[in-house]
Amino acid sequence: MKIELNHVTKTISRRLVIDDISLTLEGGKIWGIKGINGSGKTMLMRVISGLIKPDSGSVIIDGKVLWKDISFPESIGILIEAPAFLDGLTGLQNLQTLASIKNKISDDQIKQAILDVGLNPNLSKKYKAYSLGMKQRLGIAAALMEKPEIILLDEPTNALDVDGVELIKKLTRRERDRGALVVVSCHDEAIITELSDEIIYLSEGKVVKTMDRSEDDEKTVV
Amino acid sequence: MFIKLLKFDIKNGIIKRLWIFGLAFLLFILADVILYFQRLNIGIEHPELLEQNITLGDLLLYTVGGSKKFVMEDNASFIFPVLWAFVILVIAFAVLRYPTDELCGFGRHVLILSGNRKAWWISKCCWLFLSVGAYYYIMLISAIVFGCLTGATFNLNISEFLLQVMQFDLSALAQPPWNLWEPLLLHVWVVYTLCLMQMLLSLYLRPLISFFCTSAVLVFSVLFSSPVLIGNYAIPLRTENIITDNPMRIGLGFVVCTVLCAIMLVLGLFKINRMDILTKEE
Repeated sequence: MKIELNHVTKTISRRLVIDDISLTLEGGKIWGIKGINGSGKTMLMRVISGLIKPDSGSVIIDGKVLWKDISFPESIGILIEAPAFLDGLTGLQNLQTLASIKNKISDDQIKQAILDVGLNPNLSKKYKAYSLGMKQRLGIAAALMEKPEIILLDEPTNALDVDGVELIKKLTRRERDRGALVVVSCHDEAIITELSDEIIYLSEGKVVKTMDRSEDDEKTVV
Repeated sequence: MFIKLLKFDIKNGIIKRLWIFGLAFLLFILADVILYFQRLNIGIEHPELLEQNITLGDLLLYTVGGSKKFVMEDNASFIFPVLWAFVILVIAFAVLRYPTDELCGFGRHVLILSGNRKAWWISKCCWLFLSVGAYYYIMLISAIVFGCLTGATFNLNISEFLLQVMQFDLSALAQPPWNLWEPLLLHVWVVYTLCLMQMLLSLYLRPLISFFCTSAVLVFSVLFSSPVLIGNYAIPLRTENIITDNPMRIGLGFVVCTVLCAIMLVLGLFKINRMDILTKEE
């Protein structure tokens, strides 16, 4: 799995949110995105996921050009912004509804995904009654349950307690180890530094620095 | 994939929102009750009108009939067709938010998993058609239920008394029987076209603004009897089956609405294929 961004630029409401970003992301790694609020972390994830269309440049996913050959990456799990599910359904029912679109996984696998994030799959509580932390965990379960090749997690540790954060670290590493390309953005510097194999620093929509943590090789982008 | 998306829309956009159709049923029954008592009132002065049974066509026309042409003359009486407008705006409002809300929330997951933006739009067009169809089906059911309770005649012909209620000069009307079948079908098709226009506009503007656009088309259609304003085709009382003086041609209405639907289907595909999916706030 490989994602290539070539000179991607995006303006929203006259504000340049992505400014000429070129990157190559490969599978089997956790890519951390760091930057202050408004630096373009979420927008970069949206561009990769196909939710927003670049004004110029291209996004190529395993040789297929997004917005040309494909509308969305073919195997992707995302958690971007707050998780959004159907209020009147339980967590399991919500994930079953989503899983029914591709019909790739069984009920047992869905239940396992819920268990993996520390929730009870047999809980009869409706989603609207979930706490923020539970909603976040369910959002992560939804992103991971089909074992996608690309996983985008935007602030996955939001609303989670210490145990929850440790769980996310464990899960993202597990996904990386099975070969998935995991992109994580987080405002907590310690978490992103500990978790990522490579770190991309964003500022005002630009990549200002990348760092390969395995070699502690730092590159500053001019 | 399209079938899966459509199933999802039917389940979440219709079945889980059945309460809307329940309210619609009550609205239609209420309209039927009002007509029933109006008929009894007229019967006090003209007892001969009560000899004729009320028909299913009367019940439906009273609800969706609209009004005769507005003529700007001194002493010309004109009553804005509040019930007609309300009936259309209820369904227009009921289908207003589902597509865009869905796109910002849970539907975003669905869209990405489906991997197909075009299927999303076509599924929404079908969902809209089924929603509008279900709404008018409920109207028909409520008229049948009310008709059963009051001993109505089950045909779609319109009685003379109803046209009197609507303040028509009987000498200026088409030859009876006045049948509602075609104007009613055209009314439903026009409402679908208006709702499709509203759904398309919601991709460009805020949903509430697109709802105001729908309302504006209805108001202008009532005030200006022109084939260009498609709301006129949704007014059965202005069609060739009822009046002879410059009526709205039913065939032309179907053609105009079908062409508009086709254009909006294509424009929607064009837009959704290039559209950024952001949050509501953005």
